[in-house]
Amino acid sequence: MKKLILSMCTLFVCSLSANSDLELFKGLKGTLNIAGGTAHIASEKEAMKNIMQAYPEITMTIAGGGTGVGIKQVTEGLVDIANAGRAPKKDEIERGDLKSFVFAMDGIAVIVNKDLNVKNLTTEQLIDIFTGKIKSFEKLGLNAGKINLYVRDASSGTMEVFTSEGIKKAEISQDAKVVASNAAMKTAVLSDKNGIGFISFGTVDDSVKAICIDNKCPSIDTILSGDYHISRGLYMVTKGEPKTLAKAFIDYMKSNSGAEITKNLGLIPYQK
Amino acid sequence: MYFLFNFGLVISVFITSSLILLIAIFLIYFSFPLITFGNFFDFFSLKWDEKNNLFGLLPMILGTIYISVLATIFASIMSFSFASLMAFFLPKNSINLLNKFMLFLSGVPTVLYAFIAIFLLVPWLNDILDGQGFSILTASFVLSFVILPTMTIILFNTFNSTFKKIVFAAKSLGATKEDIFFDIVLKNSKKGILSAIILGFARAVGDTMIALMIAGNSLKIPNSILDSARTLTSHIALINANDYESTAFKAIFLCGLLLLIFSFLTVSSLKIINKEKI
Repeated sequence: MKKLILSMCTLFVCSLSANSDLELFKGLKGTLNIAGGTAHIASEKEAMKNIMQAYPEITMTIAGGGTGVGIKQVTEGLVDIANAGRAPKKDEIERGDLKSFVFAMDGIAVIVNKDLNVKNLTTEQLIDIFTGKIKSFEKLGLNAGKINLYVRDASSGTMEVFTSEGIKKAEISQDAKVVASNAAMKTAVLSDKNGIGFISFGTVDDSVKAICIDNKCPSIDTILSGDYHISRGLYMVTKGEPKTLAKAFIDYMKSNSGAEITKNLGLIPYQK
Repeated sequence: MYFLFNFGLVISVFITSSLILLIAIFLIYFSFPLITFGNFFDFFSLKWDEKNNLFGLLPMILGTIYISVLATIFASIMSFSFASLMAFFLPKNSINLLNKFMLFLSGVPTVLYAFIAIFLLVPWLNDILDGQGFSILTASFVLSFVILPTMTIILFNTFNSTFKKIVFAAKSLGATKEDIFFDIVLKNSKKGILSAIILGFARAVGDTMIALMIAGNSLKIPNSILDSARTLTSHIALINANDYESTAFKAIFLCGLLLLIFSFLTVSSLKIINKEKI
């Protein structure tokens, strides 16, 4: 009973705050187009549904295509906001006078096969493994054989962040096998008893083992506090300062009701 | 009415052929800046490393050739056995069944083969080959199933098209089925066998999903068939969402052009073979 009352209360509070957050769009009308990274789509779609229900005069569309496509389109003025799974590069910012806003955080977890008896690796060991300096787990004192590296393609935001934060921009071995998505990475590592790779923290589940780096384990708290250092923001990128509707949408994604949505969909809200 | 029908045919042929031409022009136009860039031959160097501005396509070209040649070899052996069994050594109703089965196989999406192989073949090979599950060997083995129906159907039709008169004459002279097959049919179907192999090879070069999901896509130049490799098609798929102004992105137009040249060469060699008298 207590639980029921409590949940009723939270529901009430939520709906209250949701309504007040929707005030951002009062008096606005027009169209807002978004394209780019795919990690953002689920949460932004949910937010758009709320907004368009409350204000029928506002039309919003969202498309995928990947970070590179989104940034290209926002630079050319084809869309109002681009979704990016990595920070825009320096020349991209200069080319399009881009401004970026973070609305959620995502960690990148190093994963190994469930049967592999390892809990923690240091950053140095990680660098040695991914540059191909150490070729077998025996050298790390583990009773397992040859290391099989799995990485992502160069256009992946996950790969970008892992190379710069996880292994300090070291050069990844050419022996590494390349897979095309987070899901493919998980399948590859779970079917290879000596496999090691990395995926977005939001997609980690029991089929693989996420290990700790420098004794810091990935979790929502450590990622948000910055203790677990391999993390990234999910960016919304605009050309120049965002226009009124785009600004309202970005603010909404960062508001309490936006955070509620992102949290429900497995991301870590970031409201600063 | 007939006039309208003929007119429609001409128009549709015109549209399709001009579309193909358009694709060729599009690819040449977009890879032209790279060709005139000065260091064009860099693209045929040994290493692809975007960070150090090395854009060698040789590992992908070699990967494509290795995987499709090996797949063609596997598929040749299998389709030859299938086709010869179907043409001579099986009873009529089982031939029909096998023929239907082959037609069905030719329609299965390639991603399905790759998907099944990832869950059945790759883990098993990972266990026995010490983590070499994602390799040229696996990819070409799976790929051979994709090109198998095409090759089998062509071979079967070639074997069946040997003149019945000659076969009857041979039978009346007391030749056994085996004699007829090895001495008459095989000698008359060299052309058909070659065109089956070439068409199978062309299909193997063009396939993307299997190489992308199973070959491992590593950037190293493959040394053995247990190494993983990247094909031109999967390279295009992997680089696709990159920064649009980068050389890496522009280089995939060159990959596309190379693939188009590949298929042009295979098809034209087919033409040459079919005109020649063997």
